[in-house]
Amino acid sequence: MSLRMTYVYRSTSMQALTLRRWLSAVSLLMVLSLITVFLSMLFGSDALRPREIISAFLARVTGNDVSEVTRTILFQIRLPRILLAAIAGGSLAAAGGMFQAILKNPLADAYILGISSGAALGVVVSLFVPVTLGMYGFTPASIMAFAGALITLYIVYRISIVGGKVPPHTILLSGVMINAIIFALILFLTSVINSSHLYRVFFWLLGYLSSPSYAALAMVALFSFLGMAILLVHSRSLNILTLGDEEAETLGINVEFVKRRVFIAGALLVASAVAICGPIGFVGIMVPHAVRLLVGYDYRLVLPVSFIGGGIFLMLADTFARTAASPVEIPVGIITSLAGGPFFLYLLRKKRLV
Amino acid sequence: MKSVYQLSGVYFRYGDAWVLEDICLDVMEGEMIGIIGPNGSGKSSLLKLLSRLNSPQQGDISLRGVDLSLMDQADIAKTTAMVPQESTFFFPYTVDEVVLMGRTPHLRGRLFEGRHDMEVVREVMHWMDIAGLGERPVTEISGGERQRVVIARALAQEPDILILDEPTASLDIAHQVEIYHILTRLNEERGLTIILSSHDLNLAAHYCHRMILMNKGRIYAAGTPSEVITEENIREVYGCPVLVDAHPVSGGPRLTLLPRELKTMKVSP
Repeated sequence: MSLRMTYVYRSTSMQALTLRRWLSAVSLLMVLSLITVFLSMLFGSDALRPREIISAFLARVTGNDVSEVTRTILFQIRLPRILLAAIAGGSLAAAGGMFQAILKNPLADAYILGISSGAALGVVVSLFVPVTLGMYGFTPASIMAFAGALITLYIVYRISIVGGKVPPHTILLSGVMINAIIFALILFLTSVINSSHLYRVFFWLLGYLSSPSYAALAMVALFSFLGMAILLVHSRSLNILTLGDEEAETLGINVEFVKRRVFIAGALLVASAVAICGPIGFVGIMVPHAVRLLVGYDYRLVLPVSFIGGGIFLMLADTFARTAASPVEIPVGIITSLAGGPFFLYLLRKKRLV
Repeated sequence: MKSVYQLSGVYFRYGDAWVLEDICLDVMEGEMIGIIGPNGSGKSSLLKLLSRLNSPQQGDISLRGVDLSLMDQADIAKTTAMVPQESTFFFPYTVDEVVLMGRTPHLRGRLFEGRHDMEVVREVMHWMDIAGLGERPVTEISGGERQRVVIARALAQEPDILILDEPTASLDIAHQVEIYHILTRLNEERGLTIILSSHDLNLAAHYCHRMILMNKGRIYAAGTPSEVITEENIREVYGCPVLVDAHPVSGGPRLTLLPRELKTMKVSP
């Protein structure tokens, strides 16, 4: 600007997000998340005492011996499952928050775009594939689910391109249509397979957590952190994209580039989570909404807080799923929907969301 | 005077029909220029070409001598800021947050604004008289305030050129005058080049140095307000009878609508 600044105002404080505020919010939540991990380890069909857990962890470091049973329960069954809940819940929540922003729709999440049905189709198809695809501790079903989710999102994205641009409403509509087509395919395929497979497909569609191998967990974490890193890099641009494509463009944002990148990130986050856990409902819609009510609408904060908060939410839901009807386990997708649906309706009525 | 924008032989279309045809226009440094014309005459399309939201199929547009199509998006945003006709906010960002978004082209990939960014934003907010609104959600303030917030966001880009698409369209008369007053001050005190489109011919004629009258995608007339706002021009382009006389205070052109029922009546001297 050609005119010198005539005034310098320091009196009015601005509620801008600074790195310091960002770090304090994120680290506070990290601590809460660790506490949740610890609490979740206490519960299960076989309750462990806090001291047992601490000494088992100490034993890892010092090489002291703890009972074989405790070690197996803790490190082979409980911990990997809790970590999976933290990562999958976080991935679903962060991706959901991202989709709501770029599609400018409060109900948008990965499932509306056909990702879950694509993954489900992958699982059903895997029942027909005779060869075993297992690697890195992944089952053939989860590899096919991962592929199915990515391919579906790619198709939805390609179909939605109009004149080099991707308008939000076309992507939502084509997502809904692809979803319907894939579900018809799933129903067709399941109607011709035998009933024991049918049960597996049904159970998978509910969304459930199991205890993954550490190799599989590491792969999920890798995809998830990669997706999260891409989202964080573009988090400020996401704020501006909610103003509309043209306004974002005039503010100097390369809109289609950013959209493509965050779509890839969202696909990685959701596909890796869905591949192992199945489509766990409501995390992607409910968590980001709650987070925005708590911390505001700045996506630099919304995304990491949704990730950690989604993890905490799914860890708690899964702990409940493991213990409420023990020894029978409730699929965690039922818990999240039962908790999430009413909570969401409450927010909708009370806070007049968006 | 140097020209900031130079358009020569510009043609643009969305589909099959040309929306803009043979546009030749020089926008001079420091001028305040008003684009008028009926709905669909190509005003908004022209403004979108200037901020490269659209690119012409034929012809050249240069910004300070540089071919606009070759420029970096962020560099354009540091030179030209656009205030759209209507801003919709999907999320209720605070006024502070909205104005800070204007710093985007200066951040160069940084995630957090620095002290300098804060100072710029504070200053433009004071200028636009919205410093007191800082923490209010932008969805809960009045239309006049929101327009000032959006202009403040544009100013936070520290542009040399401000483009506004019908900046007073949804405002009451007091706020309309206020916006024009602000724009005039920005133009005079800060030397901003201002390009705006308007349906309010009287206000535009009063405040703009030069006017462009668009008709069916072409420039029908260009010149000073009194050259452009004539009874013949307006009747020809808008297709409605008007009376143009001298504004009693400013002496500039004053346009009065003549509704159909009045056409047969004699205008008393």
